[in-house]
Amino acid sequence: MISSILLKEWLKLKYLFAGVLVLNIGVCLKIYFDIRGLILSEHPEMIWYEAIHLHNVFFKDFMFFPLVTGLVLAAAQFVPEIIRRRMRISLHLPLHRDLLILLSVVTGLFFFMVAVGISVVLVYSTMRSWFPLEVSMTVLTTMGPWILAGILGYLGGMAVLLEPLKTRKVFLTIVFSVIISVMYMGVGYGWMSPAMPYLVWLVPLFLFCVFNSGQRFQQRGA
Amino acid sequence: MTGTISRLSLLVLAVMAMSYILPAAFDKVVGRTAEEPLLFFSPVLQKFVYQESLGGHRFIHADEDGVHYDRQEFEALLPFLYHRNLEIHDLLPLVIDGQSFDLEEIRAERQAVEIKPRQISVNRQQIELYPLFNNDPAVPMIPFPEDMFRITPNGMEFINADYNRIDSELTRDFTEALKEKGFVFSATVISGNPTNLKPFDEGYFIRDDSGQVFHVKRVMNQPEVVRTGIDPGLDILDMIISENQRKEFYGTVFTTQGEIFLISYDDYQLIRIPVDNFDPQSMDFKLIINPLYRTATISSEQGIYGLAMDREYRGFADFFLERSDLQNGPVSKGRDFFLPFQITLTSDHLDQAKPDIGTGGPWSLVGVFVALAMFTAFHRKWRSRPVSKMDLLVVLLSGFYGLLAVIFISSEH
Repeated sequence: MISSILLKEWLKLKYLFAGVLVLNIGVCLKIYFDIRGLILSEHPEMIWYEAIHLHNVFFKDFMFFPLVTGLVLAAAQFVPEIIRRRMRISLHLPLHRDLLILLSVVTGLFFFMVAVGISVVLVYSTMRSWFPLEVSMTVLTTMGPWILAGILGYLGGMAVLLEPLKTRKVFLTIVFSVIISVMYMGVGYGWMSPAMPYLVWLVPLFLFCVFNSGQRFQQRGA
Repeated sequence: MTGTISRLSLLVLAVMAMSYILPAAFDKVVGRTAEEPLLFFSPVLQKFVYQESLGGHRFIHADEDGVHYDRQEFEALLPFLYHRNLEIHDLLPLVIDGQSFDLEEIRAERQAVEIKPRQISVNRQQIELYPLFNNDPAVPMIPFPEDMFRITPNGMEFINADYNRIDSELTRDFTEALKEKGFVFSATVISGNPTNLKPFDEGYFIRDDSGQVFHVKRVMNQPEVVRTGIDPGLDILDMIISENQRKEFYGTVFTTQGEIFLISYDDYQLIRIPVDNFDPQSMDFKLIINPLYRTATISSEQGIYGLAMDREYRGFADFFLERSDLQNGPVSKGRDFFLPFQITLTSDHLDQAKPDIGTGGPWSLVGVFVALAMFTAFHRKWRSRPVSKMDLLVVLLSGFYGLLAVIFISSEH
């Protein structure tokens, strides 16, 4: 049954996953050509100086793409379930509701990590081509909060979509938006790094919110 | 069980979001931040004078005895700082204590150093790559080098920006020059002024693994290394290098214990600034130099301490200006009442994220109890079922944040 659920999630995700993957790769190519253009047209040492001492993040175009990816994948998985009330049928399967939701989350996050992971490798490779190792390595610390924003956006999007009550949907949207906005604070490479050990704890909290919305969906909507 | 945990998670997230955004929004709307007071030593009065903001572009100007001055009088008490006024009103040369100073002398003897905690290496994010400018007398401006260096356990490595590869020749020359002078790799502190927007370049001061401080410059593309002789036992936290035409000192040294020294051009002798209780990681340091005196000021959350020194950096007068307490007004009490704590990620002292929770004063406790009373009353009036212990705990721990959260996220039965 689990393999059937995973197949169902794949069928829902495949076209939009392909779309966000193309989008992510597209922005990575833009970053590559932008940096190449800068290095070839200006003095490379000045570009290095901008990166290292003025903290100009040359791949900041990527900033909101993990969040968009997360929201699109959440919508791909749950908008059809909500609109056509197909989730009601799934909830009658001999499988615990939370496990059913967890399977959807794991599938969605897997595809999210594939799309974002490919982007991280591409951006890292771009930076490594033109910058020293120290600068390239900051791709991971700088993109970390953006990727976390994508994961929280995915989970938050699911929680909002599953929530049956409109006023509570609005409240959840505000709460999640405020928390996700934190991931975009600060300027420069790895600014958020000291806070990341605390911020990752938001993931289980958001996951439990999805379970809460799932429970309310079953009680009120299913 | 999952239902309880998931609802608690939602309440926790709601309280976190509110305690992050509401205090910040309140401060933005009310505008609680005050400008930093300015403290100077007046060579005319031989006393400290200060300018303090009252908000809304209103200032008071006073001396350490509390005598108030208008702006013109205040500026006249600081002739070296506002020497342009004297120039405009044709009042130069300036005579103080029988000594005469013309415009050139005033300009040549003025210098100001300001170092904030966010400039200290431990308080900022820094990619450990630095440009080492080439000193070439034939070139009037300072051209940017095509490479940057890093200090590794094996040597001083130069990476060429054109090829993104290590420049073996420069690496070998500088590593050998450093080893010849007894440099023990790697480095514990690397300090320089990595900009070409300066009158000249003094290279870098690098503290090696044994505590020795070396002065490293690039002259005509060749290494010039001096073992400074600065006490290796000095627990140097950071050195802030700033080239100035006066050429009295290369920069400022801060130790972990809060001592402040200047590295003089006179054979790298250290000049101690005789201030106590200084914490470079949380306090601002300013040094104002004029033809007669040197004034060091230390700004902390409590106030500003000023020390007036003679030309030999011997202190002879000091003054502590306490900050006006903005925290005790009715607005602040109201803030504490409704917003008992605040989650922050930024700090005035750090150039990177610093997660923190700031709590309010006694009014916050009052607010929590009022929120608790309102919650109980609300339950009695509108809900027939007993009060949820979890909701009660959330309101008890977070006051009005929790009250709002449990209202919006009501439990299902």
